[in-house]
Amino acid sequence: MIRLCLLLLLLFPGGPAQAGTIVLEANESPPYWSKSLPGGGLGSELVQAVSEAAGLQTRIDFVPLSRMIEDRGNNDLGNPEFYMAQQEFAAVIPIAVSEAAIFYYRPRHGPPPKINSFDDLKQYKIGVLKGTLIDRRAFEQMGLHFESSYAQSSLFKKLKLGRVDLVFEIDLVGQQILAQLFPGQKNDFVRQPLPNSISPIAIMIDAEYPQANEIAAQYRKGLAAIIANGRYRQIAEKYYPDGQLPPGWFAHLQRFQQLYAF
Amino acid sequence: MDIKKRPARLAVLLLAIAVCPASVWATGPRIKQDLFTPNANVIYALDFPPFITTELAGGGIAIELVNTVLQAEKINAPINTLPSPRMLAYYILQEKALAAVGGHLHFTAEEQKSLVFVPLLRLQEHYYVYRPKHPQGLPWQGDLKALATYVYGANQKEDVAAYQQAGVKVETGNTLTLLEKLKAGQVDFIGGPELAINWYLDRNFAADKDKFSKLEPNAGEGTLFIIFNKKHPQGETLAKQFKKGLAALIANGQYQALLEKQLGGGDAVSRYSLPLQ
Repeated sequence: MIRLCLLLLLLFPGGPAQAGTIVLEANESPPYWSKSLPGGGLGSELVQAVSEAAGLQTRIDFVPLSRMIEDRGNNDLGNPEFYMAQQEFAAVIPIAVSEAAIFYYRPRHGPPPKINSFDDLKQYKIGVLKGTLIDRRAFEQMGLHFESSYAQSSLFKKLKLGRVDLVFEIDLVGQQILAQLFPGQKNDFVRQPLPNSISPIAIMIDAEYPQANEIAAQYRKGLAAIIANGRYRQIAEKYYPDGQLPPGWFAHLQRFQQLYAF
Repeated sequence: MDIKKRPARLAVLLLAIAVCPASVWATGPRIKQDLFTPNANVIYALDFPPFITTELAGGGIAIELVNTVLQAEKINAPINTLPSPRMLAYYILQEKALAAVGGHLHFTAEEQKSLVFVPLLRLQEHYYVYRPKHPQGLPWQGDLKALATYVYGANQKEDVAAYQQAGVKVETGNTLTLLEKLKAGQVDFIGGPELAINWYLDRNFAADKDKFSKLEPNAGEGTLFIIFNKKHPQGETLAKQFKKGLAALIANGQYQALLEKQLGGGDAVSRYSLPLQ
C-alpha cells in the first residue's frame, strides 16, 4: 500500500488532473511561483486570473527546474529561453516580465560601485546562480570572476560575509530573499536594476497538447481582458507596491507577445 | 525498495528531501553579453549545435568565425543565440536588427530584397533513416522523386519546395523532435550535417545511436550564413566590411586553421565541409 502511494505521488505530484483541467508546471521561485505564498505568487495569481477570465480551469504543479527542462511533453511556466531549445511548443504566451539587478552589501564596501558595463565589474567577485551564465568563456576572456551557487539564499549569505562582492539576481527574487534572510537590514543591501535585462515570463503549451491552439487563444483573450479591466495591474501592484512597477512593463509585455506570436 | 523493512533508507530519503532547499531549483537571470547596454548592433544567431551553441566554449565554429571577423574589423556587435528561427525572423523583419546567423532561414523573395547573405560555412548534408523501420534503407540515388512515397522531416523554416515538387510529404520540427519522429516512424527520413545529427544522437539516443543510418550519396549541402539587414542604418556598410574581413581571413589561412581546430584536422574539414570559395 505504501509503495502504491509513493508510486502515485511520483506519477501525479499534485494528484491526477480532472477532466478539462489544464496542468502547467512551475518551479518553486518566490515571489513568482511558490506553494507557500498566498495565491501562489505573482505568476500564479496572474495565471489563475487569466484562466478565470478565459473560462478555463488551470492547475499549477510545482516540480524541480531540471525536471521541467528534461520533460519534453509538459506545459511550462517561466522564461521561455530555458525551455525552447529542448522542447517544441504550440504557443508561448508572455504574461509578465522580470528584471535582473546587481546587489551590493553597503557595510562591507562603503559607497556603492558605479556599474555601467562589464568592464566596471572586473575588480569584483560576482555571485551567480549555477546555470545562468550564458557563454562563460566570453565573460572570462573579459577578465570577470564569477562564483556559482546552487541556491539563491547561499548567494546572499556569501554577499554579506564578503565571499562575493556582488550578486546578479532577478530583482524581485533578490528582494524577497533578503527580506527573509535579513529582515530589518533592507537598507544595508543596495540594488541596481538592469533595464536591458528584461525577460519574459510565459505560459508555454506543448506542441502535442490536446487543443493547444484553442487553449492558447483563450489564455490570450483572458490576458487581454484582465489588462483591460484593471485586474492585472491590481495583482502586479501587490508585488510592486508604492508605484515600483518597473517602467515600461506593459510595453515590454507587448513586445514579447509579438516576439512569441507564432 | 520495501520501505517497511528498510526504515533507514526511508529516513535518508526524507532527510535528503528536507535538507535540499527548494530554491536550489529556482530560476535565475540569464546573464548575457548585452545585459548592460542596449547595443544597436546586436546579431541574433539560431541555435544549431555544434556550429552555433552556447554549450561550447566560443559559441561553436560559426560564431567563432563571425567573432574573429568582427574583432579584426573592430565591429562592436554582441551575438545573442536564440532557440527558434521564428524569433530570428521577428528581430530581423520587425525590429530591423543588424544581422542574423544560421542556416535553414527561409525568407520570401520580397524579404530577401532587404537582406545581404554572406556565406560563412558550407556543410555536407546527408539523409538519415531509422534502420528498424527501414532495414534496407531508402531508394535514394540522388533523385528526390524516388522518395515520393515517404515522409521527410524538415526543420522549421527550411525551404521544402524541392520536396513538395517531388511529391514528398513534409513534417516539420526541430532536430531533436525530428529524430524522435524518425524513431517513432512518423517520418521516414531527415537530413542534416553529420556533426549536427551526431550531436543529438550522442546526447539523446546514446543507447540506439547505431540504429540511425546515414544514406549515401550525400543529400547536397547546407550553408550557414550571416545575413545583414539593409533596413538597419549600418546594415549595408557593415555587410561590406564583414565580407572584406572574411575574405582576408580566408586569404591568410586563418579560416582553414579555425575549421581544422574546431572540426578535428584537415581530413575532417574535407569530410564535413566544402570550400567556401
